[in-house]
Order: sequence, then structure tokens, then C-alpha cells
Amino acid sequence: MTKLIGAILLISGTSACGLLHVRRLRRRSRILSEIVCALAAMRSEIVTRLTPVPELMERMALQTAVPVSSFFRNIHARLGELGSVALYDIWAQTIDAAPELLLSQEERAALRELARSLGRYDAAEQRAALERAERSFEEFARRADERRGADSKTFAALGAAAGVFIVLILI
Amino acid sequence: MNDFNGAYDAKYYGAARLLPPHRRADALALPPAEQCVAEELRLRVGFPVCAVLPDGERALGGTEVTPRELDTVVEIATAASAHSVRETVRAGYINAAGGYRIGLCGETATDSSGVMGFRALSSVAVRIPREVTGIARRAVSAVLATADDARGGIGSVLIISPPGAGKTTLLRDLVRLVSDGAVELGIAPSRVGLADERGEIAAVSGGVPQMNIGCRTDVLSACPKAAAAMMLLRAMNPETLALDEITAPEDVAAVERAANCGVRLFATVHAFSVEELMKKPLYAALLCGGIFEAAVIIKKTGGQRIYEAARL
Repeated sequence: MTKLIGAILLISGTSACGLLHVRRLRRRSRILSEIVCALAAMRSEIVTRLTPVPELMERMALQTAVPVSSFFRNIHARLGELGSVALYDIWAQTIDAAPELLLSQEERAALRELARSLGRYDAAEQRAALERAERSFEEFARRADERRGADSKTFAALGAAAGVFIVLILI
Repeated sequence: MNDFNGAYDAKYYGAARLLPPHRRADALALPPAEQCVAEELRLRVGFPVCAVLPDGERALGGTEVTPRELDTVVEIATAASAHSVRETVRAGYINAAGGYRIGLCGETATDSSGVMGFRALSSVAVRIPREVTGIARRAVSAVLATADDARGGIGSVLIISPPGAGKTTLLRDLVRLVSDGAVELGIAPSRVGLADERGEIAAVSGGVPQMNIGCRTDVLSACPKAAAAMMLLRAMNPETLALDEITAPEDVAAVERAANCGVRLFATVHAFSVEELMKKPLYAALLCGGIFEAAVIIKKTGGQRIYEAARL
């Protein structure tokens, strides 16, 4: 009886690990799509309304879902440091302090690069930078979607199979 | 006005806050008595920060200013949003909260439509707005001694002075005085329409004027003067219209149109005297057209300002 309970717990545990990974893939895919939408909204705000960066960050925090909204809110909260810290550094440090965004190194670099143009004199330069970032994140989101589609069932099955395998070894 | 237990002048402190953090201490090392009269803070690449005082510029010490520091001033003043103020950047300045005007100089980037912005800044001047109440009474008294006007004691007035002598400060106080009224001077309170193109007179921030411009004043900020004058006349029915720095033919045309609408006018121009103004074709028409009843000429002698009035 003890062995049976142990086996069930073990299989449940490994299955849960597999499902957590699936959930992470789904979450990552959703975050990347959210970033694409946020970049498009930022482009529209800057090009059509010439919205100042503090107001822009505030609006983005309201228009997006967690954890992307937290990212914009954190930037907005740090804008009081301007002068001591450049906007680029505030932006880059906020990305580094946001592991909940589940971004890869390449994705972080693309988002960081955007800050080099934000708040410059030329709205056209910012528009080009935002379009570049948008295209990159559309591609990241597409890849993440593909990976989620391909790997979700595999990881769920692998989790359960790993549990069964360990149980068989231990019995 | 002194603040922070008398250690700093509040307006000067606000200007120092626009500098990069490591420069603020240099600026605030200026004695409070001199902070109170400082007119500008100037940063030029390759030289230390300077304060412009009534007796001239004075270096504030510290290391030579770098181009990056000038970018930082713009970043602080615009909250990293230079794109939001591109129209004024094209005109060579930006306005910061509190009524500070930051003049920009350097290598411009241009296209077929004109100046787009700055490729690299070489110098920056942070102008400290000074609100001096009471000076308009002196100017009005001088005008009343020469002019004979039945409409509320004072007619249309043209303020004349060279740059930096205090035209905007006088115009602001005159607007406040006429808006609130001054019984002892025979000035009844009246509605004033203020065309504040560069945001220096009222320093409106979030819809609220940061300067005292009177309780019956309607301000139109960041709008070209000529257009602003017409908008105010159509929309706000002012009894008095105030405009700063008449410099272009379209400004003169707007003043002439406004005069035909029967409003009292207050305006400022750059010149040393009425005679000098008469030699300039643009202004000669303005002076000969009988639009202004009087001129107030601001003269600086030994750090003091004298308001002389002349009948036009």
C-alpha cells in the first residue's frame, strides 16, 4: 500500500513538473504577444500624439497585463532618477530586474536596443526603432508559439513517463 | 524669494536642479544674495558652468562641461521626451516645468522643412524666471504722467528694451495689474487674453499658470503669437490682449487686426529706444499707425532698471 501511494506521488510530481513547463511555455508566448501589442501602442502614441515618456509608461502600464504592466510601471517609478541615470540605463536595468518576463538573452537585447532611440528629438527615428523592435518581437512570439505547439504534449507526456520510469526502477 | 532656511534662492535652486547632479553643487555654491539676482546658468562645452549676474557672467568652478552633460540637461528638462517638444526645439529652446526656458545651441539637423533638431549641442542657457511684482505700478505711473487716456486709466502700451532687460517680467506684472485692477491708478479690473507663445510669461504647467498673471487672465500657450491673438479675440472676448516679442510681419499684422477689434494692447519689442524702432521699417508702421498710445522704455543702469515712458 505504501509503495502504491509512493508510486502515485512520484508520478504526480513528475507530471506536475511537465505541466509546469508547459504552462511556462504558454505564459512566455502570451508575454511576447503582449509586448508586440505594447510596442505597437507605443509607436502610435509617439508618432501621433508625441506623448512624453513618463505619460507613455503610465499608459502602457494601464493598457497591458501583468507582468508586462509591472515592467512599464517600474520604469515610470524610476523616471525621477533622470539626470543621475540615463533613460537607456533605467530601461536596461528594469529589463534585467524582470525575470518574470521570461525573456531570452536575444529578446532582452532587442528590447534594450529600443531604449537607445526612445525620447530622442526625432519621432521618425523612434518610429523606426519601434517598428524594428515590433518586427523582432513578432518573430520571437511566432517562434515561441511554434515551440509551445510542438513541445506542450511532449513535456506533459515526458513528465508522466519519467514518473512511471522511476517507479519501475525503484520497484 | 529665499527658501531652504535661506540657504538657496528657490528659483535659482530650480534652475540648478536642471543641471547634471554633479554640477548642482557647483551652481549652489554661489552665495544666496547672488542667487537671488542670477538671470541665467550657462553651460558651454569645454568651459566651466557660468552664472549670468547683473554685472556679467561668472564661472562657477568645476571641470569643463562635456557634450554628454548638455544632453543630460535636455533629458532632465524634457523627462527624456525631446520628441514631445520638437516644435520649440526647432525654434532653439525648450520649456521646463516652473517656467524655466532653456536655450539650445549647437549643430542642427535640417531637412527641406527646416530645422529638425540638434545633432550635437555646444551650449545651453537655463534662463531663471523672475516674478517681480510692483514694477508695473512704476511703469504705469510713468505712462499716466505722459498719456491721456480715458479708457480705464491706461491705453495700449509698447514695452521697449534690449534683450535681457526685463521686458517679459514687466509684461507679466502689467498683465497681473490690469487683470486684478488697481483702483489707486484708475485701472479697473479687466479680462486679459495672454498669447504666451514660449510659455515664459505664465509658465503654464498642466493647465495651471505657475506665475501670478491675475485672476481675469486667459492664457494661450505654445501657439504662434499671430494665431493666438486671433484665437483669443474670437474665443475669449478679451478687453486687453498681451503679446511678448513682436518680431515678424505676421505678428505686426496680428497686432493691427487686434487694434481694429477695439482691445487694449500690451506688447514688447527689442530695441534701445523709440527712435531706433522708428528706423526699422517693420515697426515704423506699427508706431505710426496710432495703435499704441505709449511706450515704456526699460533702461538698466548699475544693476537697476529704470522705466521711462514716452507718448507715441
